[in-house]
Amino acid sequence: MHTLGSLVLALQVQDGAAPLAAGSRDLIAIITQATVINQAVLAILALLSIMSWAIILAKSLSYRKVADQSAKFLDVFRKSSKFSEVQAVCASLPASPLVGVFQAGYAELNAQFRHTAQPQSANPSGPPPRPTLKSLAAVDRALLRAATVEINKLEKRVPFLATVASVAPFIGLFGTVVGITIAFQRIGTTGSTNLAVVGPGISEALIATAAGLFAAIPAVLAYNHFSTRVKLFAAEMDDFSLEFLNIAERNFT
Amino acid sequence: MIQSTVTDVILTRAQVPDGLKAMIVWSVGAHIALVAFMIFMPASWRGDIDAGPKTVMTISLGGAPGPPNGGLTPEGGRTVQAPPPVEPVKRAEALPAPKTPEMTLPRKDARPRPPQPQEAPKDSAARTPSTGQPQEGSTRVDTGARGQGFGLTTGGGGGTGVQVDVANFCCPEYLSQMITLIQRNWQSNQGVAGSVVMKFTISRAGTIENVQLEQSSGFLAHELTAQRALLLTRLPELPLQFPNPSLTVHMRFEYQR
Repeated sequence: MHTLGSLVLALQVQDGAAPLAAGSRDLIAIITQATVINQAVLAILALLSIMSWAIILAKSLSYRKVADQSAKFLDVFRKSSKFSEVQAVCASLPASPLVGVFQAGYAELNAQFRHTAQPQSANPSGPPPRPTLKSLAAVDRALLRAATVEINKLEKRVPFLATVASVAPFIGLFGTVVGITIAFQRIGTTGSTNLAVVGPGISEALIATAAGLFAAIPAVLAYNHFSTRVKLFAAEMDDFSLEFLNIAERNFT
Repeated sequence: MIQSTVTDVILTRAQVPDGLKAMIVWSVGAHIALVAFMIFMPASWRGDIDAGPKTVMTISLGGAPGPPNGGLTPEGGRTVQAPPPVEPVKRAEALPAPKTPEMTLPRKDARPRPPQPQEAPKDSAARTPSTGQPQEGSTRVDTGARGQGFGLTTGGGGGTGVQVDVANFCCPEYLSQMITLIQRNWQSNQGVAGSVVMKFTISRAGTIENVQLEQSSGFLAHELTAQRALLLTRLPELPLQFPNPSLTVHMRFEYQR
């Protein structure tokens, strides 16, 4: 009797369709082999994601600049004794919305001073009269207009993020439903419930949902963050408007 | 004219560009970078563990070959006691009715016969039945035998137990045939002990392809003999009951000495 070594077998059942060497379908293959509808869905989602990220980047940079320059502007505003000094600084701090509010208020003040100064110029003998305001309410309105414009500017394109946040998951879901429908049709036509037939279809279908969520999640986060910040900026502008009005009332009435 | 100064201020401030175009370029770049990263990252990060196909069955053939008893251990064919087959009760044949009975309408108040309780077979409760005749085993009984159900046990020893976890390979006979054919071409005596694991794929037509070394013993002779055994072997076609186009096998060649 001959002696044999021992054999240990581990049998494997190989998934029929997948080639041996490349065990997994990579991302490119999933996308290139997807149906046209799925590709279109993915393209739309990519576009939405690109746009929303561009907005996120642009807005975060601009808000950082806004916060920075507003702090500097407030600093200058509170330290200086004349509006003309503040006006001189404004050109160097263009991003701050407070600058816009201030410039509008200052323009309104100047306009009113010019208006009141004209009849008095007929009497050149006396000392230059103390400038007085005709209407504080008009200054308030000018400040309000400027604040509205500034808020609009700050809020510009932020609603797009909310749109992406709510629509992208649905677009992704649409792609998935279409993909799964096709996968089931494939089961029907081949008559085989083999995972090798169904699996890739379902996998490519689910990619669409993943892409939708990928676009939507940052958009939701950024939208909430940005709307809070816009609210804060608006509160800051209101506060500044009131401060400006107080100073104007104290000095020019 | 007076109001226009405020409006001018507001209008000039409203027209400052917000720099979105530059950011779109950046965003496109970031997305391309992300896709490239997803493509080129290691597959394991994606959760794609490329551990090859799933092992569904492990059979160990340890030690010296057993008796050539058709691939079954003596225990595998051990007789177990089972209740005797129930013979159909013969009924007395009734004579045909002399004339065709008149058709009767079913009665509306007729009730179906209530189910009759069946009597349990004698001694069926707790003890091993002692009344039945010993018969050839017809049920799966855990007799403790190694390799039962596959008929591949050619001997004990070897130290490795059998784990049978059949998911969907249908045909143990094919495996035993495969082992026999491969063993015929295998020089197990190489003078050094060690074990080599080879991986190969059997195509539908029965050819062995993609022979790869999975685990080396450190001796070239082991690897070469194992490879040679696989390359020389011609297998029959895969069984028809097995649906997949190929079967991948991991086979451990254990050299005793």
